[in-house]
Amino acid sequence: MTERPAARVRAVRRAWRERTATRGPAELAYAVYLVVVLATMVGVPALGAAARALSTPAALGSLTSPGSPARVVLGAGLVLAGALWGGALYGPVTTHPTLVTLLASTDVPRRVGLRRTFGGRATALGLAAAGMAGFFGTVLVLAGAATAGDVSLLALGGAALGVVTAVAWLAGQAFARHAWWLAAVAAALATLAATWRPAGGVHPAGVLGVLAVVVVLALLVTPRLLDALRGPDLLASAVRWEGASTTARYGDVQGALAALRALPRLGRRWRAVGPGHPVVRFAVADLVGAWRTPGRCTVGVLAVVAGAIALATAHGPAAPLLAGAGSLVVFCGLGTLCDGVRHAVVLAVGPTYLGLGRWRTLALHSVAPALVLAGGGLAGVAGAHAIGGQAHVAVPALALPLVLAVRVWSSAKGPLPAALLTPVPTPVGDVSGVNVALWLADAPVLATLAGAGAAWLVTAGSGGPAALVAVVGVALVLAGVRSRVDRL
Amino acid sequence: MSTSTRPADSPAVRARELSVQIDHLTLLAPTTFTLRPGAALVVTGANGAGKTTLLRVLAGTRAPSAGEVHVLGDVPDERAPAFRARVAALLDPPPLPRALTLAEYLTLVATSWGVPFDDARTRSAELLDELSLAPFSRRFPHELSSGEGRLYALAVVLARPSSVLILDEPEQRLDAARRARIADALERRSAAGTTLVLASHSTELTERLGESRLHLEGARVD
Repeated sequence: MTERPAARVRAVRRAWRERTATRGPAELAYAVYLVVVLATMVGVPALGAAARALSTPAALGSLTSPGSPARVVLGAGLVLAGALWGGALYGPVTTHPTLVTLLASTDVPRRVGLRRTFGGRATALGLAAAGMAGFFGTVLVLAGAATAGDVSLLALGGAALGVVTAVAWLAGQAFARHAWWLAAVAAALATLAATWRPAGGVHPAGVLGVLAVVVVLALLVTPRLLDALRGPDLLASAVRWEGASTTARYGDVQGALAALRALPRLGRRWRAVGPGHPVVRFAVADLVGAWRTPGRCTVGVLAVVAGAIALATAHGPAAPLLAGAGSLVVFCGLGTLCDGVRHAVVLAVGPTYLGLGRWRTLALHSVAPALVLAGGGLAGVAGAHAIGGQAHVAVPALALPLVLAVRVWSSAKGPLPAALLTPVPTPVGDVSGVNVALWLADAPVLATLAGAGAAWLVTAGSGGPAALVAVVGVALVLAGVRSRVDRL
Repeated sequence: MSTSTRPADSPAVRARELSVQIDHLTLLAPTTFTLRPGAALVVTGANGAGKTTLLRVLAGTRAPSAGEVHVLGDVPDERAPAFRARVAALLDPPPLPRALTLAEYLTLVATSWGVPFDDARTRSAELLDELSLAPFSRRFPHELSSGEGRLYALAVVLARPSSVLILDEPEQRLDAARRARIADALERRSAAGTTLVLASHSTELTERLGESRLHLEGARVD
């Protein structure tokens, strides 16, 4: 107990590394080889494709337009708001539960015990942001729209923004109970800043100067934020993520997501269960229940609306791509409103608690997401009109019911069939992971296909067949729901 | 609720040479007993003696390997709606909606069995009071301690009507005062005509409710 705190932390980390290091030199070399191969085969071509896409006159014009700085400010502000909010769910000081106990439960100040964990994440974020900014700068240089010096400034700015984002992320973790409001304030400030037009314009050196001051302030406040982290919260977060990652590794993504879902802490006096027809009672209960985690619910609803806008604006040759992405976003957003559906599926197994029968219970719990989907679809069409003046009602009308059916089908998925883990030897190694990946991704893929297919058929002028396909698709997926629940 | 046309004096539960085996492992040795309607049976025995297995068979969630069993005249099968309507069971912690308060979910459960809303709400409050959970009526399930959670699980089962109530160690993690509370609550159900079958390690529950007792011996490998 006579060693300095920093030395004690180093000793703990060394012991932990020795205890948990499972890779020998050969395995490490193989991992490096895999990274190099993936970077060469996937990373470089992807970067090249992105650079080519950004080098088109339209994209270059957008990057160098007078409105570009305002968009960057807005984007950076929203990233900071997202970091604040994300910190409450998964903070930068989230590590193995045992390591949390060893580093944060002794008399060593948390600013000492946890600074390396945070420093690693902050460095990674800074490097990633610098790399991204440098990439954009390089594209501009190659197009003759910027100089090498500009690239350096951009990369520096990116690194600074990355570090500030990491500190905002830490602030979200330290003040998790207020992260929602802090994020809302940050987003509002970003919107205000994006509309500010200083007289005489903005000089890059001035922007960097401001960023440098913000970085210094952020780094000065970091030790206080680390000290402000609560031990029980740190441990609970570590246990939750460790459990979720273990569950996900075994293919139970539903279980992993359930472990991470936000728990309600407000609205206990709201009237969730009231008189009236069961359809109304269950819909109100599910909607009020969803709103008891307002951040999660808001993100879900916004995602539904954003996805519906994408569906409604999808036209031209790229319509299936845009609509596919839109229906995937709707699928993801809808998940936040399907707690009742998941509850109905769990109730379908074992002793009976509700007196409605499993199918009626499932149907009643599907009303709330259906209502949100209908409202979100209408808002999406209205939003598409407001944005571009042209909106396809047919695409969301055909795709959204199918997305809802797929969401319910996905909720009834159950655990990964053990047969899928059977090794599949091939000349390039065991590819059983492909089976598992396909099983895990079936619902998102179907949801994407629902939007893409609807857009393709509508664009091709096949509205009648498209409606038939949608009806048959919904019927087939609902038959799949029945089959899945029967097998649970 | 009952659709059975059984004679009034026929037993509520009848098991004859009932046993459960997995491979060569006996989970429940051949067991025979009869229970009249409204009676209470306490099943005792060491861990692994087969108490939970017996309750699962009676609740219709597990098929026996041999022997016969009838609950209210029917072969237990949780897939049968009529069986589910008459038999309530607490074997594992029930699934609870994370975003509804304790009182709200009990009300929802009661209304799902056809109880008018106002009556359901009144019953929900009475049930929470009966089990010493009234101060927590506006809490969410994740805000309960383990003992309170156990009591609430029992409340969820008691919120629905039933002719036969099957409970697996309802006294788990409860202090003496809470154990007395659930003994009171179960005695009231028994006096009202509900048939009780519960597995328990509690001397207090066994003495108060065990007008009939069934002691199971340990599992064995044949």
